[in-house]
Amino acid sequence: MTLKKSILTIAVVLTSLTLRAQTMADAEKAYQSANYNEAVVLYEQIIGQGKESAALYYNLGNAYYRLGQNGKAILNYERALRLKPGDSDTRENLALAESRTTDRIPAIPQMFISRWYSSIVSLLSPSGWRIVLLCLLAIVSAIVVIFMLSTDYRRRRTLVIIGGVAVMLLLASIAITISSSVRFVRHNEAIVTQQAVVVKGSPENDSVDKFILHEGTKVHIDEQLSGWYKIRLADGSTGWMAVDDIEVI
Amino acid sequence: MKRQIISILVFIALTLTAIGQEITVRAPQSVSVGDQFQVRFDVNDKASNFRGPSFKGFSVLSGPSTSSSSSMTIINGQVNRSVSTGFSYVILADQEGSFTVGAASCTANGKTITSEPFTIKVEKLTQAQQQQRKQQQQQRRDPFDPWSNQQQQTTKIDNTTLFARASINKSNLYQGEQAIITYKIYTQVPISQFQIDKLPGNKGFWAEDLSVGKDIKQYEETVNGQRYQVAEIRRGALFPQENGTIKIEPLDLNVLAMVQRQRRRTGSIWDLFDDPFFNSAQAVERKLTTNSINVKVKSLPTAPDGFTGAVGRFDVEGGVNTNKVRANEAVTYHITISGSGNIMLINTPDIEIPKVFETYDPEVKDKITRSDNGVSGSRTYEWVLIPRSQGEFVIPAYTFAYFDPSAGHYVTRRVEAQRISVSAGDPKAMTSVSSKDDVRLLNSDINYIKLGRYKLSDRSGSEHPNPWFWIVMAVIIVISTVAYLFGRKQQSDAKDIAGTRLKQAIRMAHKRLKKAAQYLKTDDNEHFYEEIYKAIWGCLADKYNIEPAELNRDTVNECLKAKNVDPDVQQRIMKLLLDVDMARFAPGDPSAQRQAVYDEALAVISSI
Repeated sequence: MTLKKSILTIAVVLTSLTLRAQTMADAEKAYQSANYNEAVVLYEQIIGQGKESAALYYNLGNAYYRLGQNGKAILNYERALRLKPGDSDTRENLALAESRTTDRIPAIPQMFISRWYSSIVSLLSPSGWRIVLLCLLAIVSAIVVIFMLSTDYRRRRTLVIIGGVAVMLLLASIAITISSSVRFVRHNEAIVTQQAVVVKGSPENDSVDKFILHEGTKVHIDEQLSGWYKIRLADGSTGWMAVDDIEVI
Repeated sequence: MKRQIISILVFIALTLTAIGQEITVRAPQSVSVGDQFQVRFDVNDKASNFRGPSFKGFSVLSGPSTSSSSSMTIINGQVNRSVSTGFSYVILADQEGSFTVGAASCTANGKTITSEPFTIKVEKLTQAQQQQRKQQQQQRRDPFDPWSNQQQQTTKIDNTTLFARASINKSNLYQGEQAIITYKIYTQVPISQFQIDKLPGNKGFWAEDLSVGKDIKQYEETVNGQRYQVAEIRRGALFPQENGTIKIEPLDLNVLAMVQRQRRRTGSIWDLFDDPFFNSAQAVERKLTTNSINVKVKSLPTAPDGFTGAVGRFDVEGGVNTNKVRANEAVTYHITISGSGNIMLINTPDIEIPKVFETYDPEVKDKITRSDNGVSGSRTYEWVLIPRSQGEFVIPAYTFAYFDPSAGHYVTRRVEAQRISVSAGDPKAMTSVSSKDDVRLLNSDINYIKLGRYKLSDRSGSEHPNPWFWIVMAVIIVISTVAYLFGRKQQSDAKDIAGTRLKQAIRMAHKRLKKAAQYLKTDDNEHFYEEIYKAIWGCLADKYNIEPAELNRDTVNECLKAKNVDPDVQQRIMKLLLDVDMARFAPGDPSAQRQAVYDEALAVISSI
């Protein structure tokens, strides 16, 4: 009985795997033959199965870009960058898609340290940073072990200097890994996917219209309230938007 | 004449003698429509801060004007001095009915005094009166009566002596054709100032003001046999933008006319002074409105190629600044359109520039002159072209067409084709244009999709760190701990080995020395030295961890020096080793020396 069951499960998994591979190949073919609508449908189907990858989001973003749906294209490029922040193809395409958006929002100038920090954090994905952290941890523990075992004075002094640097790097990598993971998990950024959206002053349909955002604009989500998001723009202005008007990265 | 007598009687009736300060009103009780009359407020003292009443239902032609008089009378030797101040208005009755004029007030001798309100009845003119008035007017025009002539020229302000007109030089236009509109004030009374209240909206036209920064032109003109002073207050060029009949709205303006106020002739001696020289001028405000004008606009006939909306009379000229250029260096190409007409409404010419040139939107320079005859001038379009590769290129000829409304047809002008030869350029000398980055970004396309199979991961799984992370971290920590513990063990073991070896070595050495002592007693020379030798070398090898193969005097010497052994002990060890070697290989040694060697060996080993 259990054997039969497990065989059945394996069979199901295998067929779904081959089916998915088939869907991916079909989507690629559709894109290559400029059949972007079909490519979008197929890629969305794979994502609908709860799967994701940076390349998948990137390809979907390209298909949306070709269809002229700039907001969706930006959304998918951002999702791809979330998984693989350093990908230059994605970055370039995102810059191109962003140059076509309507809203020009002057960002509040940040402190250069926080700008550096956030650009360092987005150099690697959270898992990449975890690998860096593990490597540094291995180096530091090796140095510590050698230091504790060695009796020679001069060697110990050299080890203290090297070890100090390594420990600093390790601490930095821990901090970066944590903020990178937090950023990755938080999902607090969204893209406007409708052509033009009115941002309200409070989470009610009949409240004042504060401003209008256009497709492709990135907003920061501060709060969520039944059907509404409290959003913040790069220039610091805030407002409430209906959940349907934006898609979370 | 009768009316005048009545008026005088009324005045007399109204005049009251007064004691103390008071205001006396002198005004007719009833007048006819169209009558001009005087209302006078007299104060029998010096007065100031006069506040006049509102003349509702009447038009104030002038006033209030102030006059003051003082008189002295001597009756039976008694001197009476009196001062009086008068404020007077000239009023026109222009509506029928009964109107109440409110109170006037002023300050006299520190007190505020107020006049009584009064009512004036305005009656309709009877037929006979109208005829009489006409006669009077005719009489007044009599050139032989200097008084009446003067009066006519100076005091009457109505639609025939002061009016404003708008005129246009063409009322039948083509769409886009220039027409000149002129606004003029016609007057027979002097005007001190004017102010335009409302400018017409000019809907359906493109309007240019031609009178900006220019003085107002004044001249004389005869209208309907009357001479008028004419002031040209505004001149504009209009370019109709729609076809059909378009109405030009009137212009409203406000004029301050100067009215000569005359004293009433009473037939007294004072009439001598009734001369224009003594008359004071009163500013009277009048609102004027010009006529509206209807203009018929015809649409243009079918346009030929190269027509960009120019209507008027134009000339065109163009060219490049150089015919020879190196790649990546800029060339400028310009087209200048000059002439008179709707020059600022011309659209940018569409020029087919070869694709090899990088081009930007043209720079437009306008030199527009606005003269009385309309708008003229020139417009220059200048393109900056940057050839990106070498070769011979031609900018095709440009045809410029405009509509000549006076001839009623289109005229075509031509700018010849321009030849540009581009030689190889310095790749570094890229002409930089500020918007370069944007241009490049817009022209570039997205990168292609990622092909082939790529790994998919579960969306929910990526939220939490991989368990491998913690496993690897634990492994690193465990491995380093184990490595540390192992190292410690090794070190402590190594220390132990040295210690036991030394202990064993000393024990061995003492055993050997005991054996040597037996051989010493039995005089077995050979065995004695052998035992001594083994004892010393074994002890040294174990003490200083020297391999048996490397045992010789030199290594021992170095080892002792490296270990910082007391030089005295060093010397003794080395001497003992030398002695033992010598004794072993040189037999027949006296027993006394054997005893000394034995003692020395014992001492050295114990010292180690």
